Amino acid sequence: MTGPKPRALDPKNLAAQLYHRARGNPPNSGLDSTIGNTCPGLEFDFRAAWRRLLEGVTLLEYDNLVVSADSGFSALEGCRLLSIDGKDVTVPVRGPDASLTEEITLRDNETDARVVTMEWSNGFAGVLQAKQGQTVVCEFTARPAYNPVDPEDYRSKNPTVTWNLTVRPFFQAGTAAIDAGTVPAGVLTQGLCSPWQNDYRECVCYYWASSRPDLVNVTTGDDGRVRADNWMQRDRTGSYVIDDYADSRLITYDELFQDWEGVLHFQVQGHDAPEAVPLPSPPERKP
Amino acid sequence: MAASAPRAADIHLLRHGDGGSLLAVDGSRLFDTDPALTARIAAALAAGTADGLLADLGLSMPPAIDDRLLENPPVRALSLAVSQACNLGCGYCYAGQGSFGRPPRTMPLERALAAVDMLLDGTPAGEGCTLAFMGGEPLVNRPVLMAATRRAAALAAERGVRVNYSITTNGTLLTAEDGAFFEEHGFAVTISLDGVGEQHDRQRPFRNGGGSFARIMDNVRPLLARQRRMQVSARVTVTPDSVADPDGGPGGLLRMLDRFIADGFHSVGFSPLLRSSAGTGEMTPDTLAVMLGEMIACGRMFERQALAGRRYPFANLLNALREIHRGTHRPYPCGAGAGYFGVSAEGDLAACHRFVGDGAGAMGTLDGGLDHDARNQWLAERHVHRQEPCRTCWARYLCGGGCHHEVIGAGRPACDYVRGWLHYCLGAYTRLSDRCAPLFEGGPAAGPEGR
Ligand code: SF4
Ligand code: SF4
Repeated sequence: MTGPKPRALDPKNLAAQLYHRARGNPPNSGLDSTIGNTCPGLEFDFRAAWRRLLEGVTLLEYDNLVVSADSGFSALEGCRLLSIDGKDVTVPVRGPDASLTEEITLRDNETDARVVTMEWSNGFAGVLQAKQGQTVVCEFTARPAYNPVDPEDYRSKNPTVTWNLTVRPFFQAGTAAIDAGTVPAGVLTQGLCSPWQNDYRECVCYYWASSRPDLVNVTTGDDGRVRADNWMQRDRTGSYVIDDYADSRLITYDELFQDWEGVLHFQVQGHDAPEAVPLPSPPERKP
Repeated sequence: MAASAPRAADIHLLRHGDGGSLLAVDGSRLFDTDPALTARIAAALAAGTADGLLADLGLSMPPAIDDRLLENPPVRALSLAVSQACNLGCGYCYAGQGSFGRPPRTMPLERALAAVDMLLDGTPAGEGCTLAFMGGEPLVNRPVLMAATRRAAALAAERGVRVNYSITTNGTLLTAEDGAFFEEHGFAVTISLDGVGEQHDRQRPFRNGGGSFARIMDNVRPLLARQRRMQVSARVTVTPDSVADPDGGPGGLLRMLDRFIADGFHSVGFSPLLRSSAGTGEMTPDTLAVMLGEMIACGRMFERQALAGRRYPFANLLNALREIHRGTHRPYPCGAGAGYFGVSAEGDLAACHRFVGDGAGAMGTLDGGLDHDARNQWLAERHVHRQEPCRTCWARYLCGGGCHHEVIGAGRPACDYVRGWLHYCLGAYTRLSDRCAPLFEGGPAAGPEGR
């Protein structure tokens, strides 16, 4: 009988599977060491894992809007999931008022909404714990609602509909592997745009795992004043240009997308490296 | 026991056939290893050079349990000593025949209700807590037990909190009505038994010397028949007498296990007597070694039954397998003094039900509230990283350092037994995990102690 070649080290229990780093993978391939838990994350966007937890509909990763629906569920497209298994998936947002003296319910400037959708691992916590593989009662707005709605307010003025939807299993039974039916290959990285070019342009300081240069070519004049360039500035004038993507003195997103290796300068000891550096020649061989 | 002896602090190796299994102690991660790697690990262990091995294998990680101390964790379980009196006269009782070394007394109603309020007030909506009745014989004070339960149920319904109820009883006073009440509230009922028939009677006589086994079983039978929400389990305290039964010979624990499972107990568990109030009947290294053999015999039976797809609720192994499956790693043996407290009839708070009336675990009072300093000091001192020889024992995050009550009173005489048992359980897990995965789902059948 021939089977798969046994591995030298085979993770057996859930803890071993969860923490295991496959040979050749870098440290940031593990859930505990990525920046994948933020939005949208650099290696992947973990919020997308919840989009298809309910059979029949696909939700937005950060919101209760049904962005697409399978056949048989198309009436739900554009509608909002208000509650699952009797629990609202949104919460009012409380915070300080403009004077920072009082706690109030905050509103979204654009939509006037007073609620936000909970991060899905919280919104689904109850059903994840007790109802995987079972059907649960899901309450939706009866009509499409592209702007967020306050469930209580909505219910008092509009009809809602309930559907019994099945909660997909999150893990493959008995393992720490995420179920491929719930989170198909590619879904976790689908929402990433061009993190290298975008975030690298935007995040001036130390959010990035590899922080990038900012203040370069620093010199101190006889008058004691410091002259320096912004690493992202087009011309080296010795006068630092404050970051603003609309300022034409700085390298644009487009230029970074197309030619980052051409427009950025290597830094050697805090200064632009010369265009060409002669490589040390190998020592001559003596016969 | 040789195979389970402590060799390295951070790894433990099991060998089966040519291959083996490696426990990475931190995070309780378990791997199967092929013959070549198994041999390499075994050689490193023998040579005392296993220190850098996890890093070499790419298995190092930031510590899952560090030295940071748990401070003021929320209270999620209380055990009420509603009765510090008992109608049995067990020589070894931790509670000194229920009285905890003082004149027997019962908890007044208001105090029990105050304890329930304390527990429920601290539990946010959507979360769960445990209300337990232990110490002495709780059914001696049935009205207070029932009133406390009803109060908890009413508050829980009002506030959207889940309450788990549990009771440990000697079974002699149980009635069918009690069964109906426990069923209504979904109690986990634990019956203390020490054997079958005379063997039990020798350990757990009535105060007049008469045997209690027949009466208990008569009382328990109607409860066993009506378990739906309620679960009725047997907990057997193992003394030298139980493993050296002159009539039964070896295999005594397995016979007990089979018998109680056949009787319909929801689960059956054994625990060795390591600290008795009178200092008698405690297990010795020799009798613990015999007990380990008997426990493994019970485990082998469990494995056969599990592979045949039959339910065989041997609690010790089932709980261990579930913990190993998840990779449970704990800095303490239980929740005592952390999320769990015992309440005495007088309203004193103690680290757990066994510390009621024992200054070593005093934690404040119901009226005055928890003594946070005492509790934080307890949590600092009892952390397994502060215990010897636990700091370097491979079993430390599965064991947690041993029951505080036993360790404080009697030291750690049972480490070889604990490691031998865990070594066996790890092996059983590797044998069963591919074929019996559904067995491991769901949490351990946790008591209020959280272990
Ligand atoms: S008490 Fe537990 S952790 Fe401590 S040495 Fe003994 S077996 Fe190891
Ligand atoms: S294991 Fe913990 S809760 Fe149980 S008796 Fe010992 S100290 Fe108390």
